[in-house]
Amino acid sequence: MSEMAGLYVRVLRMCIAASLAALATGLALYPVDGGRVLGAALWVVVASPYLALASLAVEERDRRIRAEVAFILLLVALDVALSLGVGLAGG
Amino acid sequence: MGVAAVLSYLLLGLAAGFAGGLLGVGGGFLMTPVLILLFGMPPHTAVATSLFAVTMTSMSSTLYYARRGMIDYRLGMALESASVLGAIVGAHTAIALPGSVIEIAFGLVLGYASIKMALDSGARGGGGGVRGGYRHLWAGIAASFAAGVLSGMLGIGGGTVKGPIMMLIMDVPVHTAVPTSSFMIGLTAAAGTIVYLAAGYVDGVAAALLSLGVFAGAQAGGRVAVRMRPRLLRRVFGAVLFIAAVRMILRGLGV
Repeated sequence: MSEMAGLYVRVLRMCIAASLAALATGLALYPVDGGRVLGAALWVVVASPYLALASLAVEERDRRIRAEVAFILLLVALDVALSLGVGLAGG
Repeated sequence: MGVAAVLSYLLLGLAAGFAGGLLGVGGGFLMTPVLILLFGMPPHTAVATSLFAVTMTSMSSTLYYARRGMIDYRLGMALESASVLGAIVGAHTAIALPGSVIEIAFGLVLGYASIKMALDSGARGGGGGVRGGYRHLWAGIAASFAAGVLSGMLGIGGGTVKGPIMMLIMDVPVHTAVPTSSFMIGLTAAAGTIVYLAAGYVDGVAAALLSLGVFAGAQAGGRVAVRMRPRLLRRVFGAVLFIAAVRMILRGLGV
């Protein structure tokens, strides 16, 4: 399967570049905006591994792996919903 | 945040990334205790901030391995569902626990890892497993869940646990286990980080500075590691981490 991971590598490389750029921009703007851009940049970073993972499912033909990727993405979506829900409920 | 603090976080990131790249461990084992013991960060914030930086490090090393076709995605995906679930459970559990319990738990895991590092020659053996056909898959999945819980609770990547799980339980060859473990660590760490981010535990500025430092340090450490076998360095680093483990346990006990 490793030979099929070309799209995954390209997407992961883009995600790393976007994460580094977002963090650097967030840090540079911190004195001006009080950390709003940096806050968004943190979410860009944690979303990146899953974006790359989704690309792996796109190019993968094995249904079992695609199902496992879908399951992980579902788990993470639930994690986000639950965590943000708990955060909002907590004030 | 002053210039000195900015430089301190960058330097810590560089050191953690360099040591991680050189010794084949995640930077979390160095970052979390330093953030607590030297930077005076509360345990939950230190764990969350460290876990964020681990996500960034793992993406970097995963890219290295993925470009060389060294990752067994089939194996990684089989184990990672359990690991992600474990990280979510671990992070929620950690948030519910007092900081002193986190410190003691971290100290115990760090103590184990430091002894293992000091005694390990660095020359790894390998299982005889054939790529794609692994033994004890369900035991591996259960152990991956436990590794995920530790990652989410303690702000570490869990590579110290995941690598041995694959090699010792599942008989996966080392040249497959290490890259696949690296691929898994980023997904696991990000799942735990989401919980902490939403709960407001991640120190954004520190996390960003650490991440940038770790990223640069890991690249340098990985390049140096190719040229040397750091047996002495592993022992020295293991001894330093053991002292940090003892201090973390004592701090957690209020001594």
